[in-house]
Amino acid sequence: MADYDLSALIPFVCSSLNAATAADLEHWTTRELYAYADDAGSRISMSFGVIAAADIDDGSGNLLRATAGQANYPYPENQTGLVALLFNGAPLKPATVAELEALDDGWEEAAAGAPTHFVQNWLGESLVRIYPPPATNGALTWVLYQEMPDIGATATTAPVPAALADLFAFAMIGGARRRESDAQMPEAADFCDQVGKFYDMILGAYWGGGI
Amino acid sequence: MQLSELQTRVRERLGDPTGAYYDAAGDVIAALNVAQRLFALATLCLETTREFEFTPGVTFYRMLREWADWIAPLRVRLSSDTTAGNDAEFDAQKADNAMFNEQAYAGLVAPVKPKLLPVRLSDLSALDDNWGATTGPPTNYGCLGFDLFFPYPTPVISGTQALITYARSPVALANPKDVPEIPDPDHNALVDGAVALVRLREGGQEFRQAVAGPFAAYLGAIQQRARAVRTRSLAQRLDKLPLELEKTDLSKLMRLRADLVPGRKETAWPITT
Repeated sequence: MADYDLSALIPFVCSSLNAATAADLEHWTTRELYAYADDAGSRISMSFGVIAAADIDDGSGNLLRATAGQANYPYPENQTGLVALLFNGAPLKPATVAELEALDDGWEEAAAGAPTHFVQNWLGESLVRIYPPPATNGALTWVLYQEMPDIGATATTAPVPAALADLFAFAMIGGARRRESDAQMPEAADFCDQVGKFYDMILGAYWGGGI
Repeated sequence: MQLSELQTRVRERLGDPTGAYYDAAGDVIAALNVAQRLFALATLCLETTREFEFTPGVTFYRMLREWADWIAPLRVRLSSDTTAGNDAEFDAQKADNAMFNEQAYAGLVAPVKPKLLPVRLSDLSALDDNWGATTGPPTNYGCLGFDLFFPYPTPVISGTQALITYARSPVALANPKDVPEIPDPDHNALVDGAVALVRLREGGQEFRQAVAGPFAAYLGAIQQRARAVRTRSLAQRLDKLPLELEKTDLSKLMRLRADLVPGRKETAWPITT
């Protein structure tokens, strides 16, 4: 099944902005409206961890793998929080540098073996370091939260339940009515903000505590 | 109540019986659909049970790719049907005898404890150091984010099926004879919600009154239905309950800021001179 197509919301959004169709929008463009939806998508994915994934590939359909002897691995794109890291199906334990130093003074140059731990945000926020480095190649499964895919006039789909999609409609209407223009309507923008907070309550109640 | 009747009621309450102004482009139907979707989401009043066959050796599944109307799982149990193929006779129950055209999956047996208990990944880490690689008939399930579903242990026998009861989104209203899927007593609430949403384009006093009146009634209906669904869900031991709305302050949703809309000063009562 495909992701939800947010272009299905445009007729309702346009009618709320006193336009019969998108072509009749006087003070806004569909590009601007989708930008408001993109803002909303980024906000909820960052705040609630609603986009979870475990089938991360390298962009060519190949699942990510650990290489023998390699300790550092870059985070997959758009990750906002790593939930679990598995090597050949076995979960690695999250650890801090202090814990690994207490475990093994020479942990940074440990000999290859069966990985047991991983450290996040190695070298800034770009890498995950596995300890010890794997002795053999193997499957590396990242279970993580991701940022919502970019939403725009040429990418109108979002991986959200259909019942939740109207959150983006209210974000579009609220953003459009909040911007200074001859059609500015702060009471409508305020209402849309409050409806957005109602959706936030739903997000937190249903999907916010998965870990 | 059919869509045509709902549409007529909304138009009448907007003072536009023919829909020439407020419903020239199907705006009322769009507003009714928005109201129904939000109602179903806030109350989880729509449920469905479907079979889901696990792929041997696969741990994680994206349920929105399987079922577009997925919202959240309510109950998961293993199916006792160990056969492949369709029944030779019309039979709504799956727990029947294997017919001549049904083949049994090799090694698949009916589960002793079919109900899968919900679990979080942190619980799995405490339960099993090797949870990602452990295989066998599932005993638990989890769901991360919107739709990342995982059974534990990972099933490896072909034909392992789960009966998943999940909260779902409603089907969109389109044709005049379509009937909203939410319970019949709540159809009037859709009218109230749609009136306020259609007034959104006007702002000012009209919108303020629509929010304070019809939209407040719509939220009240949501609260009432959510309470009923919550009570039923607790009795049925479902794994997820509707949003707690009893103690939630929704007043901000029904009251616009006084500085935004020129409001009428309320007259004190009794009037004193």
